[in-house]
Formats: sequence, structure tokens, C-alpha cells
Amino acid sequence: MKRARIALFFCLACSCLTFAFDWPLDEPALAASFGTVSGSSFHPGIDVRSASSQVQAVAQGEVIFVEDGKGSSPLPSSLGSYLALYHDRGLISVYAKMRKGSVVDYLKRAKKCDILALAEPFSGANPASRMEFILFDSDKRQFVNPLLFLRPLPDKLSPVIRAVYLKRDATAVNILENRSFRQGLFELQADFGDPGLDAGARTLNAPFAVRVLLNGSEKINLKWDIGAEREGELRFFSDSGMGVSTFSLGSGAFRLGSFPIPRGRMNLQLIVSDFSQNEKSMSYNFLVD
Amino acid sequence: MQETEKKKRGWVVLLACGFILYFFIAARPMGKELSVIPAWTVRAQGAVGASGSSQGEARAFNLGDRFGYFSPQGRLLSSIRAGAEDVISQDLYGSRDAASGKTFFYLPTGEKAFELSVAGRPFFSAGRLFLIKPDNNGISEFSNSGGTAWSKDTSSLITCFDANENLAVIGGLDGRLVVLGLDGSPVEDFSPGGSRIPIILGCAVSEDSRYIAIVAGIDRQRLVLLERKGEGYRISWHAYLDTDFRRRVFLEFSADSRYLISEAVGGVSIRDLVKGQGSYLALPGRVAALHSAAGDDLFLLLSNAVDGSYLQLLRAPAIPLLQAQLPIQDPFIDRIGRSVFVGLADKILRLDMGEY
Repeated sequence: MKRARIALFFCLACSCLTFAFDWPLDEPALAASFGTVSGSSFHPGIDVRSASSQVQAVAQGEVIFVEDGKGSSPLPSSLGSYLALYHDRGLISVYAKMRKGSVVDYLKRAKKCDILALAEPFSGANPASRMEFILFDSDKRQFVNPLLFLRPLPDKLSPVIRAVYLKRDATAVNILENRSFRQGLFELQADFGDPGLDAGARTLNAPFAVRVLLNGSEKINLKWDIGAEREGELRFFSDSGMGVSTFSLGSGAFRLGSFPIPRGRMNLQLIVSDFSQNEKSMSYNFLVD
Repeated sequence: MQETEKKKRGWVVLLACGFILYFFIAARPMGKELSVIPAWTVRAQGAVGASGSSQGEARAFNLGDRFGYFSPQGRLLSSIRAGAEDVISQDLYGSRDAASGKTFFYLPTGEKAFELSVAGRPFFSAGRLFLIKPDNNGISEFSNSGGTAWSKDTSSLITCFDANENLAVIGGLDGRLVVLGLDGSPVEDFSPGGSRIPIILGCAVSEDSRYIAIVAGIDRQRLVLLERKGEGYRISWHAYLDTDFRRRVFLEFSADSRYLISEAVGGVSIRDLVKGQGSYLALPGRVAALHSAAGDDLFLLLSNAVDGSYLQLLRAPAIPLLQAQLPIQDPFIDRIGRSVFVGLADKILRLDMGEY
């Protein structure tokens, strides 16, 4: 019995350490994930939907900035009304697209679950509210995937792979339509994503990870964990990273990277996974001469 | 006896002459009194088409739900119903179509100029057309024909922005200030530090590009003045403030780049950059705008309070001359020299300041 209690204590302690933050809305649903490409930019946060409209502090923190639309600056806010909370180790949580006039402007410090504002009503009625949540590491100057700090949500929908292309010189070929290629340096392009809340969604969210294996050897490993500005461009995946202009092909397909493909029988495996470990794997066999 | 009488009379004559001379020698003209005289009033809505206005004389007005152009002589040139995200400058106005996400831009004459289909919110600063990106983490600039001049993502969310004809300054949630040239190339990259939490709460660039000012940090807050030295900027003065703002702070240079006006608790601080002296002026409510004119030491300061807004006329640096209470928040104010244009509800009026 004592052992069981100790084990339970360790489990709880570990889960608190790993998922230190509560969701900003009760009964949340993930509407848009970190790194989803929208137009000509990466989404540096997540969109959360809920039946509840009360936005609460994800952890104890200090209010450092409130944009309430009351100032007279010519600078508009694309995030609408928002509030930023400063936490330990330089982490800043941002609660955006709040209902105008609802953001509390009297708080200096907030405890976990303190009400900060009301989320905007979402047209579509049910769930009724939608907000944007951003997590920023001010020490490293990078946006962080909030899912790394939030309790996991149940998600049974696996990612989707719609098409895979191999591009050499100026020609991209659907890998299913061509079973033989000439050896050389190829760029891998793919149309994939996570359906999020809706299995039939036309616009897909970003997954959490993509791996590409060629004959079992890993060629590409991309993770939607951080995004940081480099040379005036928000880049994802690593320090040198890819900007949206490099990553997105605009048609729903993305550039994953380039690697040489030698002669022989090849097996190319594309594995796309979401944050809940749902995985979609596609395997392609072709001949290279 | 006669001698004494003569002497007495001489003294009296001398005194009388001295008295009369004093009036001529010591006389000074009376000081001129400042007067504010209403020149005209025009209704900002009515049967006026956009056509017929010429760009040269058009002044933009924005009354919140309605904007357009008028002439300084008191003629309404155009009046258009405006949405919350619509924008206007002296040269262009933009109307946002929520369904398509596009913003359609028109000349003051009403002629279509171009359309922007880029996500984000366009705005004008110093007559230049900018766009803040959808997550407040980047700025793009567009030419007056709609072409993208440059586009930059920032390292964090943008907390403040200012521009003049040559520069754009951008402050961030991470305490970083970036100064960009006309082509978007970096001119300065500065993180002031010196506070427990780094953040930029206010930023301003002077008309002549000589100075950049920022209010930065939490615990303690600092006002930092940067001065151009060669290709970049160096700190020329700074002061710790007794403020604890957790929002965007008002910060602006006067049109002649001589004074820096910064928001303070219950009013504004005005720093004379030539003499290196500071003054404080108490204001009702929260300072919202400064209207100054090059070569004129009269300032107009607008502040918003719970019971409306207040327009304060002062002589630089901080001598209050007149104060008027206006019944609405954030009224439209514009200024050409000593003519002030005030928008109230559905009217625009011109007030001329003069010293008589």
C-alpha cells in the first residue's frame, strides 16, 4: 500500500513537472496547432475552442503587458485585445483575441486559474468561444509549442498524408505515378497535416513531427517544437530552420528537405505524427538507376 | 529768497521733464494675448461625393464611424462610412472587406488605387503604409501603389511602433528594439536591459532621425534616449522612472525634435533636449496625442479621461495656457501651423490660434 502511494506521488510529481500549465479555457479543444501555415506565415501559437469563455492564467505569473485598445497609438493589434504573463525562467504566456474591454487591467500578479479575460465568441455557436494562446521563451527569444507544457488532450484522429512528390531540377513527380527515377539529389515534397477537430477538414493543421526514412536510414526529422526569428524571418524546426517561404509551396504541400538517392531498389517511408502520438505512415517502393 | 524760489522751480521743471521722459523711455508695448478664434464649422456627413476633391488640398479626418477629407477652408470633400479596421492618411484610404480579408485602397478622389490581400492589419504612420502581421510578430511596408517594399518578422510580439520619413522603430515583448531603414534594412538593434523583466513599452523616433526614445523594462522602468552617432545610435541620456506601466506608453518628440514628451503618472514629462532640462505637467486622464508644429512653441496635448477628453494648449516646455473639455473620447484633432481642426460627433471645426 505504501509502495503504491509512493508510486502515485511520483507519477503526480512527474506529470506536474512535465505539464506545468493548465489550459487557458476549461474543456478545451485544439482548433489550430503550433506552426500551422496560414497565408504567408507560421502560426506561432495555438487556437483553443471551448464552451466556456472565461480565460484563466495557465500558471502563476506577473502581468507585464495588456493591450486593451484604449491607447491612441496608430499601431493596430492583429491579436485584438491581449494580455501577457511572465512566468519563471523567462517564459511568457500570451492570451490573445480577447473580447474587447474584458481584459483585466488591475492585476499585477496572477495565480494559476485566475480569470484574466473573456474569449471572443466564435461564430459557429458550439463550442462558443475561441482564443489564441502563445508561449514565448524570452531568454532564448523563441516561440515554444504550448502543447509541450499543457496537459495532453484526447485525440483519436490520425494525421493525413495526401501526396508525396520527388523533385529533381524543376520537375516534381508524384511518387505514386512514377516507379523509377534516375539517381541524384532530390527534394522531397509532401501534402500532409493533422485534421485537428474535424476528420473531414479541408485545411489541415501542422502535425508535431515528420520523419523520412530511406531504406531504414533517417534522412529528415522535423519537429514543430520551437519557432524563432532569424534574419528577419520566423523559422521553424532548428536554429537555421526554414521560413514559411521556403517550407510552404502554397498549394497545401510543403518542402521537407533534400537528400541524395543512390542507385538501387529504394523504400521511402514518410511518418507523420501528432502530439498525441497518433501516427500516419506511408511507404513507397521505387527503382533508381 | 528769489534764488531759492528759482532753484525750487528748476527742480520741479526737471522732475516734470524726467517724469514725462520716463513714460517715453521706459514704456514697453503690452504683452500679446493668445486668443483662439473659431473660423468655421462643417458637418462631416451629408450629400458630398468623393469626386470633386483634389488631392493637393485634402486633409484627412476620422471620426470613428466615418472618415473622409475636407479642405482647410472648410469644404467637406468626402465623407465615407468607416469600419473599425479601415484606415486613412492624407494620400489614401483603405476599406477592409472582412469576408475576403482584402483591403481596398482609394485616392482621396475616390478612385481605386490598389488592393492588399495580405493577412494582417494595415495602418499608416508618417504617411507610410505598413501592415502588422496576423500574430503581431512582423511588419511589412507597402508603396503607395501597393507593392511590397519590405517585410520583416520580429523576434517576439510587437509592443510599440513609430516611424518618420526614413526610419521605422519596432519594440518587442522581449525587450528588443529594432530600427529599420527605408528599405527595411537594419540600422540598429538594441536591448536596453537594466530591469528585472526586459520589455519595450513605448518607442518614438524624432522627425530629423537624430533621436530615438524608449520606455523599457519592468522593475525598474527606464526612459532611454538614443542619439545618432555615425551609422548607428548610442545612449545619450537615460533616467529611471517611478512608473510601473504594464501597457503601451505614450512617447513622442515635438515636430522640431527639440522636446521629448513621455507619459508619467498623472500627466506627462517634457524634456528639453537642447537645455537638458525636464518639466512635469499634470493632465486630467491619460495622455493620448501631441500636436506640435515645427517653428512654433505652442503644443496641443490631448488626454482621455472618464468624463470625456481634454485639450490642453501649452507653451513649451510646460506652461499651460488654455484647457478645454470635450464631451467625447479620442476626438479627431489635426493641426496646420496655428490652425487646429477638431472633430466632434458629426462636425469638424477649425480654431485659429493667434497672439493679439
